[in-house]
Amino acid sequence: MSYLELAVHHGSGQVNTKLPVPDPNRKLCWVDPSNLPAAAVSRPTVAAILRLLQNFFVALEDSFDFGLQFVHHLDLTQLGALTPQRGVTLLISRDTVNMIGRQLAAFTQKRPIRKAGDLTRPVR
Amino acid sequence: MDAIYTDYWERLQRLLHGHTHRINIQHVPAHVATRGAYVDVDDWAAGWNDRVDHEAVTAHQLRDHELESLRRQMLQVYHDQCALLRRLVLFHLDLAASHFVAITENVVEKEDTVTGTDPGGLDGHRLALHHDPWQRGLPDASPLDSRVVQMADKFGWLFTQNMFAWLKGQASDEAVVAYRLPIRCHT
Repeated sequence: MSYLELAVHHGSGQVNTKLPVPDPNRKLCWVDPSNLPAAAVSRPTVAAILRLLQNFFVALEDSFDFGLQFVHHLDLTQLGALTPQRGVTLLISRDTVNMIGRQLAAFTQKRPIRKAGDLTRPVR
Repeated sequence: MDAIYTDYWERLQRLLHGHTHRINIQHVPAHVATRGAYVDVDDWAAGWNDRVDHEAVTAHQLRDHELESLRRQMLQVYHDQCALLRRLVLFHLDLAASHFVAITENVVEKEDTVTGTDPGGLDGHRLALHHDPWQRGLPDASPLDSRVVQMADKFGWLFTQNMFAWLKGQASDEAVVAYRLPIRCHT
């Protein structure tokens, strides 16, 4: 499963209603947005969620040593992402896979992902 | 429908399977002694039905040996084809059943097609089965587990808790997919 698909799915609020935001005081750490002033919190972009998820799975592997299989060059061109994507091998239910596919297709419908700048917008 | 002709009707239905045009089937009285002059439609239909039956019997009696053997051969081919199709259907169902068992045993099918320029990638074309149960080994997001605390310190307690629950929930779902990963080759 690509990080991009996970990012769009999590950015849609299906799993976490409020995603953590980068901690202004600690590098590569995130905090609950309710702990920050409202003015400092904005809707997370897909790029920000991607960064969060990538670090989450790397930290998960570092902490638990599950032997996660990270994958590269995933082809999501059929879903509107024209650049190769990175991801991680996950067990995902069939319903969730279908839902994620629809969410990513909807996200890229008006603006396909061709470069990094195409990720600098929120999912919804 | 007469019970004694059930096999004929079933055969007819099989032959007409997929036929898109409307077919009208009308029952008519059979083997009624005609009175020479047809007074109504039923009388007319019964008379001609009787005539057709007699003509068919006559034609059957006049068939030569060569034609009869050809008919038997054609029938044999038909029955052989039916038997073959039935065996193929059973084979297909066996495959589907074994595939379903493989999925429920949590086997992830993964197809990687990456050339070796990336040190983190996989070489060549692969079709491999990976038993990948790590998600089910995730602990409950307990504050007593130092590893969970470490994760929560970095990503926030609520997010860590939700992610653990989501990952475990996905792995425990009965409808876990064999997720095929299309991977782009380097050019």
